[in-house]
Amino acid sequence: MRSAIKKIFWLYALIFLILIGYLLKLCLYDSHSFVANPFNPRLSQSYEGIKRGSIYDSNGDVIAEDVKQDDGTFKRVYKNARYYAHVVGYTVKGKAGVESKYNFRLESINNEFLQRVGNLFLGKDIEGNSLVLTIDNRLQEIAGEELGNQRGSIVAMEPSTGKILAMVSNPAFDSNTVAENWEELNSDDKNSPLLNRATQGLYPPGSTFKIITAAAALEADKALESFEIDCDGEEKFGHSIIHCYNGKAHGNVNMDSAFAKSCNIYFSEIGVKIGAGKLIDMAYAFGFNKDIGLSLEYSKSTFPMTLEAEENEIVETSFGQGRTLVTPLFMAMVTSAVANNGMMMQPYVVDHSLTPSGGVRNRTLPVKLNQAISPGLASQIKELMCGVVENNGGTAQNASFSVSGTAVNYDENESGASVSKGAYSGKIRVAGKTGTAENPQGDDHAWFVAFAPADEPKIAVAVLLENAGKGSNAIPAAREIMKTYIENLAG
Amino acid sequence: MIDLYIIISKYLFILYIAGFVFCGFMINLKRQNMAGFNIASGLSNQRICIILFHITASVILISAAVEYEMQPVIVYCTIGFLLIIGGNILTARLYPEGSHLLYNCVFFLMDIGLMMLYRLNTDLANKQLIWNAIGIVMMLAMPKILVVMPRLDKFKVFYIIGAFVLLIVTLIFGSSSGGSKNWIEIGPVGFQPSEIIKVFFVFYLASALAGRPKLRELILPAVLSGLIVLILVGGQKDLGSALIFYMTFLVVLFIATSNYFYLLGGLAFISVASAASYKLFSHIRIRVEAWQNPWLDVQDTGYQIAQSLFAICTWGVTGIGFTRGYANVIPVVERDFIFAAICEEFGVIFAVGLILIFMLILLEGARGAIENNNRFLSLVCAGFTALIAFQSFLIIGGVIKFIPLTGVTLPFVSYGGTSIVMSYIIIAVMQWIIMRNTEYTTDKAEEDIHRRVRQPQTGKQAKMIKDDTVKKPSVKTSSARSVSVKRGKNNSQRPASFERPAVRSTGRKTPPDVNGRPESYNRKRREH
Repeated sequence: MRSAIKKIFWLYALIFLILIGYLLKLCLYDSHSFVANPFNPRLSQSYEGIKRGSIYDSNGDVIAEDVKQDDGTFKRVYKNARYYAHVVGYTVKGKAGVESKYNFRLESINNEFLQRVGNLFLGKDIEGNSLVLTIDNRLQEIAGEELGNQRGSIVAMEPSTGKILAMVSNPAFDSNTVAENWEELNSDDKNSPLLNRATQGLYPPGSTFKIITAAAALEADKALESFEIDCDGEEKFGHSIIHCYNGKAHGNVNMDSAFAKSCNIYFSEIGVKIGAGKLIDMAYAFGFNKDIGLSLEYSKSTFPMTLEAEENEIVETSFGQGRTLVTPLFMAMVTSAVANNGMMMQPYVVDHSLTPSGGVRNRTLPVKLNQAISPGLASQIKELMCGVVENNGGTAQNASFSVSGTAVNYDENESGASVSKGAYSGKIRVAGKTGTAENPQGDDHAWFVAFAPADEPKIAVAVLLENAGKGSNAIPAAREIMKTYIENLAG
Repeated sequence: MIDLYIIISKYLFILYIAGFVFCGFMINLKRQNMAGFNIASGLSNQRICIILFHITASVILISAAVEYEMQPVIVYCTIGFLLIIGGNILTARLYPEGSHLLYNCVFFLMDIGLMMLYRLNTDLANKQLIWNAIGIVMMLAMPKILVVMPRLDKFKVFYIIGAFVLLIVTLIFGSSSGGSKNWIEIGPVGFQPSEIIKVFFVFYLASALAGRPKLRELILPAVLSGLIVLILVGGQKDLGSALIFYMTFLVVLFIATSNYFYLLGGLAFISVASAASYKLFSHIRIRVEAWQNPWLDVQDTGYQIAQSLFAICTWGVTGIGFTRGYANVIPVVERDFIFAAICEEFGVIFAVGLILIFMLILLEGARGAIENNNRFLSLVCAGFTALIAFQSFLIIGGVIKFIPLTGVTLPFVSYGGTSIVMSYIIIAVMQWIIMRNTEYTTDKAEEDIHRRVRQPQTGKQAKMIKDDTVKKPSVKTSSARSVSVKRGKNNSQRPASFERPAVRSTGRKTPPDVNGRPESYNRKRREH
């Protein structure tokens, strides 16, 4: 009996030690996966008398900061507010954007003991941790200026990491005056200024989808590379008639020239040839219908076509109409995947946190989402996209640009600009694809996706201009952003 | 200023509980002669830890008096303080031979519960204070009452009838709380009969299994226990209590028979039964699914457990600081989820200390059961230990999502009148059993007793000692009689391995300890 009691005691000891082990593991390791859940009320708390962390762009320029008022309270002040409205969000009337999703970090007080002591004896402010975004202020400004009053969105990404370099959505709002204009902002259903079009706006991809159709075709059958048709501007598939843009007849086209000239009939033929299955496989490989893991609010890009699809749906889907819907961010990710040897990266906007004393915390590490296509296929698609810019008759011939070879950068520690030798000089090879998305509510949406330099991609851009007509209208904005970024890359 | 104090206090609390647990385990190592440690000063250091904890936490509560009213919070903290001090002094005076490590554990748990509850819900905390006072009085009175109770092992019919009457009364007159029908209201007072049934149940099991039972003698206790468990599961939908009863039954059965077949067979059976009930009952399925993935339905079925996990994990291992958490968003945080609130405000490291305090209690219970030569008392002690073990495991494990949640109270910490009072009674019975542990039937022991009775000055000295060392002669002689009758054929011969050489060599000259007692007294008491 005594030995039985001892054994039972050891059993208790064992299960209690397992319990302790589980509790520690829960708190130290597992917690990262769930404490950021929106149902955790602790995340949305703000504390009075504490200076909320600032938000900086990747160069260290202030985007948002708490400024002390005369009465000792803090007021949130936003710089360049219109350009950053959707990324940074606001803290009044509920929170949105980075202000909402990273509230916990902005409010959490690093080394609270010392800060409290400093506050008590030296009168220093107690500060939350600051955030440094991946957004580059120069690109964000150019994107904002290029959009002007045009409704639409521009997203720029670093293909190898998923860093979002610029993200602008228009119409926007002023984060400084959200409280005052709340009624108006909320009731404006026509312009929906609170909607982040870059991540939540769903649009038909138009001809930019031909990237995926071409990838599906080349993966299904390499011989399709030399497949040719004779395009006379319109053709009947099943019970619907397909037109090329403006009914233009492209004549004899192969994969290369059909992609460059954006021939709808060619890609309709391709779609019918490979069938719904191959298209669906490729769309899923690129991450349609899946979570993209962005920390801001976003909509999933949807690809609803099924294996039972009829011919006319396959045909329409092949050149980006049909029921497929994408966000500008998603198209930037697709373009980045082609640029990044087929590997799609998880997009992110916050690079790291900064403690008040300048310590770096929570640095975001790039996360691979999925290998959409093989590196070999990615290289083939890249050549097709270069053809769009370089080929005679390509739809984006004005997308190419040259850079001067001198990089100008602003360093927060030095006064003024520092000039150094640029990493690139002369003509930069650009890969791109235009798209004109038909839209039942009005004029066509203009799309342009591109990356550069084509052989060593540093930046990928997706531009969407609502009701702006043909895709080439979206080219200048993308070109300016790519040019600014590449020119200022130090060698 | 107060914020700064709260931040510092996070580390002080960890220091207190670490010191407490350290002393507790060192005392146990010393008892096994595995480490050098002064037991008496270890125990008084533990008391200092409890008092410092109480003062540190009280200062925070009183400073936060804008939230609470100033006067009541001062009164509350003072009464809590008096409970700890009074309890300590009285246990030392009345029961110097009891396990003071066990008393300390209970008082510390009580105080952690009292402080946490005041911050969560002042009304319930005030009630809890009264329940604790009643419980402590019961704990102090019980051993005195038990001394005059003849032959507790002869009332097994009474125990089982008592248990069934309470069960059936609950089934008929009970009202529901939290999905289980386990609550009886008489006028303004409500109580939870299952907490009382637990005590009857353990007494019944111990008396039924005390004489080395043959297989056919096990059938009746097994059937009756099974029936109780079935009524709890089916009639009252009180899964937690049912599981505690079942596991206690298995443990007592295993200890009484030393037969692995029963233990493993019982565990296998409960696994099959759980799987079957998962298939059969939707409310069980919902709980298991909420446990497997609370994130699927964070707003409804997974809400409680998700909120609990947020509370435990958001602030890291040192917590956010006393009074600064948000645990009030967890439903029934004062009862089932108080552990999550403790994790949030005192930190996970502190909570680990709390689990270790429960382990100390189990260690004392196991020691009490091992050292008693009376099979009945040994089984009672083991049974109560099992109750505390499974109850604390079930609720802590449930709150941290280690196992599916079953709503039971965390002994001494959660709010709950019946639970608190019955927990103190359980401790009182365990203490009574521990106090009777030095009775031998061997001639040497008898001699020892007579020798000590003949030396009244030794007894007097013993009274001054707060440590669990020397027992009072009067209790000893009376209980020795009653025990020796029962022990009769089976236990008169102790296994040689059990008696340690150290006990026998009492003749060795040893220097007196801090209390002026020969060291041999200490060793004799403790090493059994």
